[in-house]
Amino acid sequence: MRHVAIALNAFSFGMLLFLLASGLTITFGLMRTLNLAHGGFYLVAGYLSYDIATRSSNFWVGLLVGVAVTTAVGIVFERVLLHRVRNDELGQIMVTIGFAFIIGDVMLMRYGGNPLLVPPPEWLAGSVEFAGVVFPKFRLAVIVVGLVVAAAIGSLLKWTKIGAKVRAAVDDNEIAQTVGVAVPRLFMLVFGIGTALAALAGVLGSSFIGLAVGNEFRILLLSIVVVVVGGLGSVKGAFIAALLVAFVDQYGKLWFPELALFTLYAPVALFLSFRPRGLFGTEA
Amino acid sequence: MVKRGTRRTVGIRGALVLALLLLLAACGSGSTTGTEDTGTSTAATEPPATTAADSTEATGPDDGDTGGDAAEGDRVFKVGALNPQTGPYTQLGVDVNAGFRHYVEEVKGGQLAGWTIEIIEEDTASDVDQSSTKVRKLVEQDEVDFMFGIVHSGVAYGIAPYINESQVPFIITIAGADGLTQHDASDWIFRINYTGSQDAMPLGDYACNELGYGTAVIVALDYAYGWESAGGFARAYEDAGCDVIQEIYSPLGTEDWVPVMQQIDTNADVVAAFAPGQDATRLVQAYRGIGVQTPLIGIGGLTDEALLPQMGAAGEGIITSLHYSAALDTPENAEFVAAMDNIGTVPGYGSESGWATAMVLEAALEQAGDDARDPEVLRDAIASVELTVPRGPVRFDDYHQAVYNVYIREVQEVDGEWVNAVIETIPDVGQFWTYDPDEYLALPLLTDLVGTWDD
Amino acid sequence: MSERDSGMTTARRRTWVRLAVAVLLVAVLALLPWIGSSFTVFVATRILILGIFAMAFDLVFGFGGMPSLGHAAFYGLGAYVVGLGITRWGWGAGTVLVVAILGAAVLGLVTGMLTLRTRGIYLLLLTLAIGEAVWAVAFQQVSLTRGDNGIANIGRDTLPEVVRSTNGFYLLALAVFVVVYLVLRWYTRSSFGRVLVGARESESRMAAFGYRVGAYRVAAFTVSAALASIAGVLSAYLIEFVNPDVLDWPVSAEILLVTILGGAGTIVGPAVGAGFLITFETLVSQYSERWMLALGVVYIVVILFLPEGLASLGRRVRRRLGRQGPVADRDESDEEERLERASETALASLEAGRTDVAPIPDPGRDAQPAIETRGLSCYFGGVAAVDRLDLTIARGERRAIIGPNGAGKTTLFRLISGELRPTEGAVSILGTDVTKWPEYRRARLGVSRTFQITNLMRRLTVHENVLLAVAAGAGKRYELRDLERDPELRERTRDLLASWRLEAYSGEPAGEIPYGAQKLLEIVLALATEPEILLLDEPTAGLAPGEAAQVIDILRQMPESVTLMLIEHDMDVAFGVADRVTVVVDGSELVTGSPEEVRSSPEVLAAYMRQVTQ
Repeated sequence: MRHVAIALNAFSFGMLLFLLASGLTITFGLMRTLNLAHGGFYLVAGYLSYDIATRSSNFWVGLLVGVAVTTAVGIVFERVLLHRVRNDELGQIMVTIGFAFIIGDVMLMRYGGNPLLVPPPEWLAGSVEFAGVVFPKFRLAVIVVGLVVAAAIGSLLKWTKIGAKVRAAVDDNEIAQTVGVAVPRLFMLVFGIGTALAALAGVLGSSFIGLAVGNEFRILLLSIVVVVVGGLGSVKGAFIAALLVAFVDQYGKLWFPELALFTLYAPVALFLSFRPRGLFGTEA
Repeated sequence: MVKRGTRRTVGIRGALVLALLLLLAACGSGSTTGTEDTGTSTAATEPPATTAADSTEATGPDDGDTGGDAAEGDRVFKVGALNPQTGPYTQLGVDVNAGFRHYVEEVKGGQLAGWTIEIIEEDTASDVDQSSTKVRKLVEQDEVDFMFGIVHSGVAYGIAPYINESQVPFIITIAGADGLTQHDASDWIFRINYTGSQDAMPLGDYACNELGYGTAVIVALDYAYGWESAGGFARAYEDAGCDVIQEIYSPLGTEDWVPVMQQIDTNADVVAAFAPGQDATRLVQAYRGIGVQTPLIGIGGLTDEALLPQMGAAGEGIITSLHYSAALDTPENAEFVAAMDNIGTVPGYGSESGWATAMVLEAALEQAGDDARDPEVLRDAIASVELTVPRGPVRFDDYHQAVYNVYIREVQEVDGEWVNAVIETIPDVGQFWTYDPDEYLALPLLTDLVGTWDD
Repeated sequence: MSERDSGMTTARRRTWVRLAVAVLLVAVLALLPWIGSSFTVFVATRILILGIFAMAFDLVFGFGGMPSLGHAAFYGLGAYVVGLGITRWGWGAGTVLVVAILGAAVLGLVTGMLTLRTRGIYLLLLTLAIGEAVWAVAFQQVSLTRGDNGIANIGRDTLPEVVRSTNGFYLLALAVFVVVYLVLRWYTRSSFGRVLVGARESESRMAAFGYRVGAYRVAAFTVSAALASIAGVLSAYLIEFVNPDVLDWPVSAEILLVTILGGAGTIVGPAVGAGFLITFETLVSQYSERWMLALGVVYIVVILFLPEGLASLGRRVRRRLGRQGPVADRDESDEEERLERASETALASLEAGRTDVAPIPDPGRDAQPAIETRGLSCYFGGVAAVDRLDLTIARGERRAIIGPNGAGKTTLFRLISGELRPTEGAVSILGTDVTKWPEYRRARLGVSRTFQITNLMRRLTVHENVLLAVAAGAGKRYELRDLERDPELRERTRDLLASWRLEAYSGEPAGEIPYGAQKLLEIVLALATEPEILLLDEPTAGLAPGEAAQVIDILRQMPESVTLMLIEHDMDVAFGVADRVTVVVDGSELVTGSPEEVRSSPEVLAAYMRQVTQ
């Protein structure tokens, strides 16, 4: 029974990791842009939704406004700044990290430096007990959301025109280049989706990992780990990698607690030494 | 042609970028003032209003406020505030500075013992290189007479040699590494906050003798403060005749505490947790989430005043030990809490440290009189200060570590708010607890005893 | 002649002017202790140290194109050797330095080898993981390192008396800075540095030249790590304290940002970035605690206006001011015209079709076939791209491989060049079984190739492209001296460029010359290594019909000793050049024979028809 609880928990942590990483891997797949401001968007959405949810005492309003505003910020950022450094990797690093610095400092200015762990809405607070297994309701919700998002992105990629374009771009660098020249609107849209996913992760993560300025880079690192292990641009890869990383990390902590500092990075290093392009990676 | 075209867009691009950034900056500062007015969200998320003002440049008092003290203008005493304003420990640094500045400028009108106090804040960013630069700037360029600050113990160790070399009295306001006032104690450095183990040792004794918990599991963050606070608890707990049966350490910034908490041996009478900050809330949340019924106790940072509102009912009943609680019922504390509430700063051990440092400085300046700018005179004055600050009576021991009351606190709901209610006062607690200093210093370092308590 | 001479002297004069400026700059910097306050000197020392670190890092990052996020490990290792060596083991400064450099070099070597197969962000994450492992060791081995409390009271007593004071130490740091700069200057001009940069631009091309790319990458990691550790040593002596923070990833991230800010891929640019960051941090944070926000703005603005970093500002200003300079003078419409003219001459050289490649035939080896494959098969996920192919190509033969799309032609090429390993079967070249040989070794046997999509070192000049090929052909793969100063290589490069009429583009980045000239350069590069076997992958693809005809002319006039094997989609090209033609369909040989035989073969017609109908 204990292992059911542990596995459930690893599953929920994995779904959170997937939410964090899915937006990053999509934008990377299409745009070949590693968005280092990804964690920043997580932060913006988390703080905003918390702020608005407490003011309006309505969780849903907070969620909606948080995701919408963050997505808008992301799209404006892509249009005004990011697309100007297309095909310039170093430029992308500087622009996205510079933007992350700005976001971090503005959030610090606005919300202060005390860490925030937002209590889940009432109906998700507390635990459920089922056949002797006690498990927090909120984490069950994270599992559900993770699965829904995975299914949604999966079918978006599979059935829609945008999805087809994104898939083609992921597979072929050259297509990625030409697609970008031809349809800037597609870029905007996909970056918007990526930001929206980061924002959703921020809203859920604020009750799981919490919000604190400085966390944006921890979030970013976690996301990069998942994206890279899964293979750049592959949503399926990110999904499997998120679960893999979560299970390795959680069982690692359980069985080798004295090696807790290594449970995340050591397996990754080992894995990448053998599979230098991740699970489903095509190109670096 | 192509190139020229690109160049032209650079101009447009530049204008766009600047416009966006200005907008962002404007939004940021705008919303800061906005919350000051409305102030609807909980205290924990309020921006510290004083620090939002960009008055790092020495301000001193407004002449208008202090009235006829202009004649005293030549009796200026410069204070360097060396705290993080960016990076992971920002909030503590900001709180300490707010406490100090508020006492000096608002309570005392910018003057302490007849000296006009000029405060120069510098940002350490919790980075040793940058702190080394900033401490030199304060000493060599600003020629400060006194300094306080430092959150990160590594930074404190890093700048300690320079402080001793430059001979400017320094009061550490947060950094808690035991060694700073034990094996590596220095002539010019005092500490008003706890050592890692100081506040934890009374808890060990209390848990064994008063609460009657015979066996304990230690859960601590895997870094020096975690090791020293857990070690202090374990040393006193085991010396009182009880037994630590399990030790679990988890890295700083553990995202998910559930797998850590699932390792706990549920046969123990009590779980003692040593994790402050954002790990504290995650730890408590995870502990409650997995439905373990063993009582939870821990260090003061576990139920810091800034965290209580989010923890809510999950925090109920947690017993912790600290040299401060916002719920202390004394006139000094009432004044402090009211002042902090006024400026939207959480009254916690951080802001209290800054406030208490200002009071200590005031007392030392009074004692030193006209010679206060003589570093040796000031240092000796600080060493002999005895006064009552919000936390209660405080003085420094031979190693320049503060001696104070430690309070056993329990998280309770009072008038709809969660507070650290004081359930026991343990007076006059020094860093060596009930041990003899020389014997204590001969014991192995707590950082070297990690993993040996459960034997 | 006279033009070239005057060019030489201007170049030499420019070198002297630069040297004079550099010496003057160092002299001015050396005077700082007598001008600035001790605080200024301290900040300047920090800048120099971070500058050394950034320069060392850029060898791997900017020059090598490997985004390491683990360099803090090398830097921190140096710092920890100082801390532990002095406080624990009573070492002297000399021992400390030697141990730090050796230790970091070994760690760099191991890191370089572990990351050999990874690129881009995969390499970034792997180096991050390695760096974090080193950090965790320092953090957890408390009894040795005191964990995150760090090692204090390091002191400078072990250093020679003169460099113990703030000023003396500053001068020491300045001296080390200059030495590291010179080492890097030398390294980046040796074949170690040049091949590294070449591999950054095109790894497959460098391997096709016969360079063992991995060795250069590992060497760069090793040298970079050793130099970074020197910065760490200096930093520990300066701060007299070390804690695990120096090993943690934010330090690696900072050095990466500083390097881009200053200008990646240059030696001194990263140091400029370091100077900027520390100055900014020190000054701006005095006035506002919002300096992180300001820094974010600066990062964005700098990269938008100076995409090549702060150091390129100097170049731009010089260009603006020096109106009389040849570069500044150039108007853009002139530029285009000039390129057009040059392209015409280049194509004219195709008509001339001359080549001076004429290896002396070796009768003993002539007996062996140039290329022989036995049962060669290659499967991708169960599908056979090449299926049990037996080919024998004699010395001096001109063989075309044709076939419909997806027939496995390019895969066959990659199997012969060594870019791919076969699933089954064997490849022999000039009588040697090379099945298990990597590409670079086959290249050294005399195999050279062109790529279907032009594969040039795009950001290197045309001259540098050819120089790398020539050096490989001459067997000068591990030269310690500046390749540009090797008279033999220079001359041969110049001759090649002249005979192919590419000298007009000599100083242009290869990626920016007209497409026709790029295609030409592609062939020049393949010939520059003086190959015995030349593999041509659709040499006329993407060319205008006229240009294609000229390329065919050139190929026809190749020296007889050179074996040609070409893939063609275009039948006319294939039949125009080849004396024998092999038709490949679905990875298998359909028919081999003279162009006439193949042309009249009903099977071939059927195969092509099938594709058309599909």
